[in-house]
Amino acid sequence: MSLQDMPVVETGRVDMDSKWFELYQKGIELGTWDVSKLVDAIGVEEDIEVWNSLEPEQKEQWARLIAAFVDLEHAVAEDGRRIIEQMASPYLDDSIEKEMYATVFAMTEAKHTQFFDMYINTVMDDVFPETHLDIRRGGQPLPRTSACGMSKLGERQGAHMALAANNGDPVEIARAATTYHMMVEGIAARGGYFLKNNMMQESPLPLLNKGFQFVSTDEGRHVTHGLELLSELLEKERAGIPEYQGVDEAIWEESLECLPHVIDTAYFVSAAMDDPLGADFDGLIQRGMELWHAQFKEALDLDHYAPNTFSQVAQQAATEADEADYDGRIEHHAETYAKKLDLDESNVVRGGVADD
Amino acid sequence: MTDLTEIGGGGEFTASDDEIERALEAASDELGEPVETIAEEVAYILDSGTGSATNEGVAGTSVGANATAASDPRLEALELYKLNNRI
Repeated sequence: MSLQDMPVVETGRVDMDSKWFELYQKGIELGTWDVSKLVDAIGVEEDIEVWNSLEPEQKEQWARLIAAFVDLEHAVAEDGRRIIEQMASPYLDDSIEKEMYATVFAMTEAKHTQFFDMYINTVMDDVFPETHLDIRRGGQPLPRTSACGMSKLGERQGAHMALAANNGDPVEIARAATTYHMMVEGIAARGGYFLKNNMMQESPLPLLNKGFQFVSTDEGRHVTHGLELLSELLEKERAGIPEYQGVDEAIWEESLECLPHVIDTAYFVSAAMDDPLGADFDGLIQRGMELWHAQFKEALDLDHYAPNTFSQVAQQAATEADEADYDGRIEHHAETYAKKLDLDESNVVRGGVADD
Repeated sequence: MTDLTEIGGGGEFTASDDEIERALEAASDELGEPVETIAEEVAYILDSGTGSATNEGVAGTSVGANATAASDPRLEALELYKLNNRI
């Protein structure tokens, strides 16, 4: 069949020129990797060998970083249905393309949870003896997550996602998208990639690294989603539509509420423990400042954006972090974690590698 | 779409444009896909389509994890795309 004879592919209800359709399509092309096949392709033996060669403080540094990813990926995976509900808000133009994209989005978050859950129970099980509690089913985050600002970020994200999904209000959607896509995915997770890139140089863990590469590729689409969504809301606010007034202010306020928790988490993973794997807290702050400016000034051009705010908030948060007793916090949360395991077996999620 | 030779932020380019082109052609032979399609996907992996969401989870990663990628984030992303097609 020649090119001229081939039928033209058409759609009726789906706008294939939509930006949201492109995000959906890229999710299909790049986001359907299989965790089990990844493990088969890369293998886990080298990771276990490297892991077993690390010093206790080096393992502790990895554990602090990965705990944050395990719990936040789990939390956002459980918010998957809320993303789909949120995207169906009448204030977002009843777009089938947005809802289609949201289904792929939710699938990738579930898969990230699967990857990190598999990894800590297969490779890092000596520093994660118990991982089974589910925060949404009477449990709590892992002790290391509870000990730093990441648990606060998770709480904010869950609360805003529920509000945005329930009432679909543009300002609530703006707060939820700022917490989730700008601060958790856009600043905290990308900061986490910065730390892991440096830590990988001291202790290369090939399966973990490859998993991170796929996760961060998916998350790149999520950050794009956040920027597109917020830009859309801002455009309607700037056009004077009453229901959208307050979006700009809400984005800025929420980013400032979240930032200290991000800085606290970064400090907890690096400077608080003398940085045995060279994660580089100062370098991360510099990179965070660039990401902050790129998101809130260059991409969204917020009216409320104030120069130097990042460095002021970061400095204050780092000073407070320097005085924190993180080891004591971990110990306390490990005790409550153990009590919950003992007191209520119904909170325990069983299955997967840990029980094989 | 950002051009594959113009992506910045999060990683340094160490390979020449010729090396990138040869790697894309080899991947095209291996995967049976046009060079242009692969280049677009690799660029998308690196910048997610906005030019402001540069994927430093890939772009910044070079040492230790993939000896064939010669430390260039574009080659790292190409390796990731090839693996993505397998899994």
